Amino acid sequence: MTFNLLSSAWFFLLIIPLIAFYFLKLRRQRVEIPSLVLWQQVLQDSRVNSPFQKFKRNLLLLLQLLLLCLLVLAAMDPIVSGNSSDQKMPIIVDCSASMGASDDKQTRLEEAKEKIREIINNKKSSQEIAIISFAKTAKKVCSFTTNSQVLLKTIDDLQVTDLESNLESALKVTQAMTKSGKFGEVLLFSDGNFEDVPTFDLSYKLNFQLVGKTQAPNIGISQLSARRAGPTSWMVFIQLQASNSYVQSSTVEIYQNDQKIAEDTLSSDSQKEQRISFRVDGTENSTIKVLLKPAGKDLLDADNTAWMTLGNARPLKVFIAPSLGSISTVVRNIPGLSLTTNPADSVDLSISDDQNDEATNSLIHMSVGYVPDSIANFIATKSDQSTIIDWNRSAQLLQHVTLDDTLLMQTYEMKDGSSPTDIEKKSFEVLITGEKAPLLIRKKIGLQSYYHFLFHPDQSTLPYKVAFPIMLTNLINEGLQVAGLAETEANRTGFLPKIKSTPNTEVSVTLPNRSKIKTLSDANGTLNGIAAEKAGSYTVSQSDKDDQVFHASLLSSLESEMSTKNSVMFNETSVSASNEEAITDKPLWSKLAFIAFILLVLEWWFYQKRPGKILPQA
Amino acid sequence: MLLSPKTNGRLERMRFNPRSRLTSRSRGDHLTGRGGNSTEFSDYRDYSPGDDMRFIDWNIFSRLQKPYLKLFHLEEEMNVLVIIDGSASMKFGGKFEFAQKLASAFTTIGLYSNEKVSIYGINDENAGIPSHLGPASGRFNAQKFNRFINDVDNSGNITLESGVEKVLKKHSGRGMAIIISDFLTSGDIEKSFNLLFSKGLAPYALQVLSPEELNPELSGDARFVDCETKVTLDITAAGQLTEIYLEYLSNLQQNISDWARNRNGLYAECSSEQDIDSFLFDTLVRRGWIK
Repeated sequence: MTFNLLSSAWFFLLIIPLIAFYFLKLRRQRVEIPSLVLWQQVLQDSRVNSPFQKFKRNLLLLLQLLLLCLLVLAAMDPIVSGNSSDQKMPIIVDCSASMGASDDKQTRLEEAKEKIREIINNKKSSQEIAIISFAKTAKKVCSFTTNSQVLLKTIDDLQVTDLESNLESALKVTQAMTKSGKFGEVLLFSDGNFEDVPTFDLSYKLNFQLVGKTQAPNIGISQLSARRAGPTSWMVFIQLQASNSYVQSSTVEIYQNDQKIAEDTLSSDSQKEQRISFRVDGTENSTIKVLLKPAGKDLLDADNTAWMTLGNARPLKVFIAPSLGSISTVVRNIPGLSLTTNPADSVDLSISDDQNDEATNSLIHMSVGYVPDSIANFIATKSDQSTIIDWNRSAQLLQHVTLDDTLLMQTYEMKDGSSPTDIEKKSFEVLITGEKAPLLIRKKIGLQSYYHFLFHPDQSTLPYKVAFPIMLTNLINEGLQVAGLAETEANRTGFLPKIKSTPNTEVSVTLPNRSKIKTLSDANGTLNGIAAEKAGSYTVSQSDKDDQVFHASLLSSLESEMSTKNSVMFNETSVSASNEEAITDKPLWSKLAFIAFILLVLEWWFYQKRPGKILPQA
Repeated sequence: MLLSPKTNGRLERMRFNPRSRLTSRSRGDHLTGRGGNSTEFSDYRDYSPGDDMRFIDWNIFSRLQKPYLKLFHLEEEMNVLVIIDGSASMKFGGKFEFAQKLASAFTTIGLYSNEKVSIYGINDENAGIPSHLGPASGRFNAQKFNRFINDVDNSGNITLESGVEKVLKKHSGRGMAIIISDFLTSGDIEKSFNLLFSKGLAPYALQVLSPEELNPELSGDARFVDCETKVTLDITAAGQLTEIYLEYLSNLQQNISDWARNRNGLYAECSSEQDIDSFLFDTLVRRGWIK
């Protein structure tokens, strides 16, 4: 126990005048009685003179001394130190989707909030607390402060997000906060529904406060995707995830553009992870909505609905410059493509050796046979033969491609004073490296990807190698994926996908809860990073375009499974959930003041309620 | 008028009931243990030569042809001494008024049964002989006694022991001494009883206490002042001491009772707020004071 205001102990000196006044000002009731004979005998009785009776004789003085001591102690502001005596204490709060589950009357987040409020209300006035909330990402919602009102307001503002939890992000944010001041213990309030972080080195003591119950019945949609199934249809795949305690059946309803097209009932004895699939018409753009209706108790609502946008199952539009003979020969043999040689046509993929064709709005553009102007100052060309030294095997374009022994009729080298780093500074990624300079580079601008073959394939042995058709097939596949023609999947909560817009234009986004936010598109006309923390529909409104509707779905097997961890695995250590409540410093002054008040009332009652009866005189 | 006419009427028919012979030699209404020449028959005995022929029962002689002597009781007078405590302590709680009523009742009983009644009011330490009346007997003295009782002062500071000593300087004659007091005195009560007993007076102690003395309701700190001596006594947490006080009061009453009984007397206690008729005609009758 410590005292905040130790200087108040000087008030103990009041004991001296209290005792003095007690004996000086003791006013006894003067009572005239017939005879003192019996009372004198009473006072000489050994029982009256026993130590306990002597104590009772001065009970009033002792009560007053006790009252004064209690008041002085209260003025000294005593504090019972809790198990966290650090001056600084970060509190991490899980705001992921599972924290919205209502085990009893309140959600898990509300339960955590109550506990945190108690900690804030009982903290020492000098103790600093910071609040970090996390779901998919972590945010420091309140820096270290001693202001309880600010902390309480921050806690009140915390809301459940329809995102899965990522504990590691919260721990890293907390780790970064150690730079602003040392702290020994970090409080973590979570339902334990997160992945272990075995690679994280815990540098502080983590006090894991588990909220919610371990038995949580829930079932939800954990995945929603579609794959092209023929020229006019899509195959839609739905994956459901149930928690261990969910034993009821459930019904899945599928809607296409708000028209119910299918329904399926899943029995209760099925596996916890179930997949269903169905075919839908793909002749035009449509929105697929999957509605899960659990028959039994289901703690999470956010994972019961998922949306997915399906595009028209059309062929991929490809522009190939007429001069590219070898490339054109290969591409023409790939089925399901719509080829054109007119650069003015709107296409998904363009392949050209003319620098002017870079201006086409295709999603993927591949240039061959020239060095782009932006890096022309770094690369020189010679007429010597050269070979390919290395290539990025993980790049989608170069998957399953072997470029060994490929001869080039020209040699590319870095000019004096320049290096490949200069190319990378221009936002290019090197995919194929020649003897002295890069040979294939890639750049992404907004939604578009640009591949630049610095050499011309026709001036190399590449068209005679198996790698050549494989590489072009990879390019076509990437085009199909980017155009949404091969496969697609539902957008997950977190952020909306990149949206094409007019450059530097203000855009209004209507959130699922009907509130609106405004954002600005970048110079390339791309809307990036629009937060989608809640599952539902997001309407993007632009002044010069029709409204666009996007959907975000939870789609997290982790959140739907609602598996509770009682311990967290870290690198070489683990932290178990604490069985004890997080005890912070508890001030005692109010309790002491209350006891003093009760004592005062008792003293008054004991000495004032029944005054001595004066014997009546004749 | 201290007592109601109805009470007085009942008292006129009452008699004292002394535990033993408490008579003087002079002739009176009380039978003695030995034979006498009163009209009260006592026993028969065989005639012995020299006996007075006048006491032979001739009826028995005619039937049995054998002389028997008829014996009669001897009747002697009894002194009834009423001592009323007039100290200042008696003025609390209506004790003195109750004592006056009792004194009036006892003198009435004595006068109407032809006892030699004397009454003393002890109150002044400095007075040589306490104020008194009697001895007298006969109902025609009742008014005189009542007036005396009414006039007794109760502001003295005399102790019971000293007061009894002063009374015995004046009084003579055997009988019973009825002391009406609260007996809350610093003097030696037993010594007072000894003095009375040595003068042939059986002490009949009647303790009058107020309800506050019988069951004090005190609490907190108080400074008690003795009304007679003005001596003070500081009491702390008086409520806690009440139980011990009652214990000492009970001991005092038991001692007075034992001292009186050992000297052929009796003891009775009463509350100043008690019904006088109930006390006289119920309590005292049952305890053998009067009949």
